Amino acid sequence: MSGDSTEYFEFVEDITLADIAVHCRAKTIEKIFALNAEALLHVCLEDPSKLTKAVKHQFLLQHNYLDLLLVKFLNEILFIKDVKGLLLLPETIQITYTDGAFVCEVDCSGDYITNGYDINVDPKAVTMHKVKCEKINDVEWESFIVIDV
Amino acid sequence: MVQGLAKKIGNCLYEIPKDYKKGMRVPARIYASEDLLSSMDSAVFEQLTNVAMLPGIQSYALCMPDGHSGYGFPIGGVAAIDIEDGVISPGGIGFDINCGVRFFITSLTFQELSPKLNHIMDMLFSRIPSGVGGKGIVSLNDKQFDEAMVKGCRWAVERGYGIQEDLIFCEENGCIGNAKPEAVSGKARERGKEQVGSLGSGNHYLEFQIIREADILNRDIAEKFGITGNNQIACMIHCGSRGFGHQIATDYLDQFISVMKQKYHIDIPDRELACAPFHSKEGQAYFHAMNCAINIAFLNRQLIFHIVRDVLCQVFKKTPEELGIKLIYDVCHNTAKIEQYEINGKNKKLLVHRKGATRAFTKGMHGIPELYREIGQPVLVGGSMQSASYILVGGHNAKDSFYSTVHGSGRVMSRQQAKKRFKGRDLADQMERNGITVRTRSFSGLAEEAGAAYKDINDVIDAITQAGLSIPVARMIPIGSIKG
Repeated sequence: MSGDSTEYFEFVEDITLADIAVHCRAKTIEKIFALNAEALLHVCLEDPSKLTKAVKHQFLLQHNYLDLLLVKFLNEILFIKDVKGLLLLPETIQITYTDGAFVCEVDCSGDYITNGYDINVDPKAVTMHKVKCEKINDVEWESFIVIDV
Repeated sequence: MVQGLAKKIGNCLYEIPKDYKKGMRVPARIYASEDLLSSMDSAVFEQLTNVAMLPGIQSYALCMPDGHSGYGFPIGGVAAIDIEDGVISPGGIGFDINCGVRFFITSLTFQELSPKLNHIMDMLFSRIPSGVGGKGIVSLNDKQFDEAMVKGCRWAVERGYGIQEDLIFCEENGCIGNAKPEAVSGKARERGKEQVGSLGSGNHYLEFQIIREADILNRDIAEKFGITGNNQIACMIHCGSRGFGHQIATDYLDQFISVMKQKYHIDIPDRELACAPFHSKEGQAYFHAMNCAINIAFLNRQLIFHIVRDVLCQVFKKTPEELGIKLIYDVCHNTAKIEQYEINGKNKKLLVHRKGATRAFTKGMHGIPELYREIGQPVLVGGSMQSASYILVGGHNAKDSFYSTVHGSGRVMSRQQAKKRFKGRDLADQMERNGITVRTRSFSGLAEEAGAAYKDINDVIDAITQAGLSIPVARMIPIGSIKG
């Protein structure tokens, strides 16, 4: 588990054997997205705290469904890893609902994989398997995703 | 437990009837021993019975003895779907499209290779990209990548990364038809073109193996493959289409979800089973893009094979012929292919989805190399990095499974559990002590792949043999493993 007792991510066992399941809880939807990105980095790196903020990157995404926007957001981070060789963590995330679609604007920072990081495994995709991203009460959000490795 | 609902109907064969769940069009069948069946996670049965709901599915939804839960389909799942009124489902193929295995033998003996193995492993580890962010052996421009998507292995051979004979000994001759680059998104292209010729990570590997005298299980067939035993050295390459296939699967799953219910009125309980009619615009586009990924995976394994062959020649200062290097076969584990079957007296073209399952065409069938026509195509089954791998051929009941069989051991322990239980460096030391040289980019990644995280490969092979789907030919023991 990582984070405080009210906002955290945890890797969940007994959901998938070949891959990695992540459960998150947070007070805002933006924090849910941020925690999922952090969990993804924990899958990639042995010590994610060592990642520097040498490079900045921005992107904007939209989807009709919030849970699938979360999947799209994480897959975008994986896409940038493969294409630019960059490992990223979001610095600011803004999620809005406009014209029937959820929109997410992200400012990220991170560094190139080749800059001496101890790697763990290479996540290939975030799947829609049992995906969940919803407000569970007045003050809490929850998500569940499975990362294909 | 759903396992309890599976009724034994044959040797290592269980069936869940189609009235188990509303919407099932056919029964679900699981090939397994009692022990393997009880070791399968319950999600396997839920997923398999969901697969049985897919429009156009024929006969049964099948799961092989190495089955474990996946997304939508279980890994080890097989579904044959009528292309006239049925669907295509990316979840039935998997994210790593045409993840597969290439296997070649040499005339080198263990005694000849052993003193040079460390040096060879170092050379390969430096020449073959692997791990997180591993860029490929070749860097392709847009035009070259378009050609590669259509030509697969042929693209490599035309540029000197292989010989004509390599093409003969690949499923589909290393180049599947109906590959149309225009169906591939810009993102998939961008992601794929930098990774052509790279091993990746996770369960992908390059492994040197020894075939001892005692490991020849069917001498007649083994000899026809050129497998002699006598501590013969062989090599297995396991990898797929890397980020390219993943991006195609991601792109089309999203598209299929948006049209499946609204446009085609298909109601399936799991979004990862998203599908579209095979002949629909979306179904055809995915089929064409998937075939591009199949070809890129063939090309990937071809380029890695070429490097291994080159390194062996360099180290031994001999030609490939002098080293007896002979490609036995290259098989796909994650595909959907159009094959012809007789169903209830009618000839039908079926799209056979195999996800973590191997095609096993038997003797006399078209689509296999002339040299293997009398024995059937080789089936290559990779074990864990600490256990044996196998070469098989199709058995007398192969037709019952749409000529499909196992692809590996199948996991029994999650990655997180394995990482808690094993330390990568200790595991590497233990493997070295047991005669397996290891090179890895990640020790924690190595821990996730510990042999104990997988089913016993011998149990899996035993079950598939008893079920009559396969005949074991030889067993290969690992002596050197490069993990991503």
